[in-house]
Amino acid sequence: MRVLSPRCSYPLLLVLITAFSCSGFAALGGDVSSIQADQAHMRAQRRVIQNAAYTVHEMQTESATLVREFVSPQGKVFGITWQGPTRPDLQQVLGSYYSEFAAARPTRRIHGPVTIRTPNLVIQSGGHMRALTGRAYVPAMVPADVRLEDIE
Amino acid sequence: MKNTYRILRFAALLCFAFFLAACGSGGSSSSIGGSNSNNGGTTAQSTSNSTQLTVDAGPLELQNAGFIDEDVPFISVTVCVPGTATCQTIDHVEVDTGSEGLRIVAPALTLSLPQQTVGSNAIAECVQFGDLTYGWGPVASADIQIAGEVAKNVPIQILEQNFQTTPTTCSSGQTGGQLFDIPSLGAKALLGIGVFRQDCGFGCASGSPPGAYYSCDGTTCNPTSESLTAQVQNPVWMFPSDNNGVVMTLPAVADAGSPGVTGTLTFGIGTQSNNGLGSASVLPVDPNTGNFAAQFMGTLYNDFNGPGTGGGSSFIDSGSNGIFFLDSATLTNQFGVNIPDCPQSGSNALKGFYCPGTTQQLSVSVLGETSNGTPAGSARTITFNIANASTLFQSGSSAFNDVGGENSNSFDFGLPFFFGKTVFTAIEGQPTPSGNGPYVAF
Repeated sequence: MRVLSPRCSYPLLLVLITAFSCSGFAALGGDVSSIQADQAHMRAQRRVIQNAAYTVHEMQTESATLVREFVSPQGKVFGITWQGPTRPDLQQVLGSYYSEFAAARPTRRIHGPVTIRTPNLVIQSGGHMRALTGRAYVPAMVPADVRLEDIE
Repeated sequence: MKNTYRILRFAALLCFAFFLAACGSGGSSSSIGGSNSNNGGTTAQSTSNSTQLTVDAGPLELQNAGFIDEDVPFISVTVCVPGTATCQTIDHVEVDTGSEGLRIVAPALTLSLPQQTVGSNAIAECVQFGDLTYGWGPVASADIQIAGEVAKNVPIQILEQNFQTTPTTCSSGQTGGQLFDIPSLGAKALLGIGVFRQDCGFGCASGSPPGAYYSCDGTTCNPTSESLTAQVQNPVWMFPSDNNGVVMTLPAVADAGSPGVTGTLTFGIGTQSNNGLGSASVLPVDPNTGNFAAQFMGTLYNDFNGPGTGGGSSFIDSGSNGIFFLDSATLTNQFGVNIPDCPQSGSNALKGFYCPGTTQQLSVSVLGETSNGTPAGSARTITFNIANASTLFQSGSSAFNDVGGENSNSFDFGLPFFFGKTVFTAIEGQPTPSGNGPYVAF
């Protein structure tokens, strides 16, 4: 299978990815168009599921990881979840919240799930190989009629 | 030493070829893992399939760096250059039923193992863990020997700090840091012997996702697809026999903890007199995720597939060093169970773990499932204690049955669950007397 991957296609692909990822603000806290940047960064397929209180943009990455981005009626991404073999690039999907997250990184290795709470953000990461799970959300942006357990 | 290994491997082959012949009980040797295998004491005509499993403070290199391991189980593993008697026995290899494949940190490896290549490119892998850590390094091949079992030419990973250039798509956002040496891993190697055969599966064979396999031309590494057989493998399913799963047995420990305990890791389920399911009952796990469902005080914890659509997110994992479940606010506000987090700052800060004032006993009901969350089998109740992790860890002991921490919407039954039990992990697609894996049983 590996032999079939033409090496010459990579430079072009990388240019496209870079172009897309620079084309919009990353998703969390951003608007719907920012999800397209994440989709391009993850080289994922996307479908949109409309709920009463929010919209879910569900993306399947090449590794078969399912990434969901939750959008409020005001059109802002307030939560992101993932499950599968690879985590989404948190630096990409957290966008402007990333530095807050990185500053609060674990100082001691936990052989298990990690929760990080900053003044504006909650990130939970856990699971196991082939089924890594996690979510990130901005509590202040979660619509009043959305329960936290719905962000999954 | 080399002669010893050659003789052992020869003995193992003989046992396999002449299955009914009376050989083998002497095949176990203290030279591998320092173990005196428990073969049930009666069967003489089978491969030695059991090795000593130890929970202790961890490798000397970790302790010299000022740390100890808590609730991490270890065995010794012998790796050889494929097809040769050039071997190395590595102690303090962490046994992880929550991952697949052998990963050795480069500083612990003295052998020169052949690297996997495609054309002139080296194949490397990025591996990510739930605790936001990651590993990076080349895929190589080794013969793997544990007890009398031998898996030949197994794709493994060598964890290196700077193999060629670490791609940013591997390291980006992994704020838990890189696992590349003994102190950072807390072990000399990680032996993943979970419910899957490979460490990635079809997603890596059909696509070339970032964060998984890479093709490296000496300057840069780009994501590549990796066939199922080329992927890093759970070595157990590559053993000629006893290849349908593993059995971990650990003795009970006192609630105050123990400096260390010794149990057994046995290969095969129902293949020999020492690995039968006995009174254990099977909990089927989702073949896509390895997970099952959990119900706590009337609330069912599904996962990701959305409310009401099933899909549990709970699992049993010897590589988790606590029982990680829910969160303090939910436990207190929704269920009236007073389990606060440990201090988040100061000298006794311990993020991620629970520190109740008095030990709390909890029980949770678990329900197996088949694909897409369809419930399967009957519910089981698991009862466990949660004590003050900060106090326990300050004791300097290394084996605890009652440490736990936060894990929203899910139950991760780590090593504390295993003490005083025999826990079976059956591999996907492998037949056992109770049907094909994947499942767990206890």
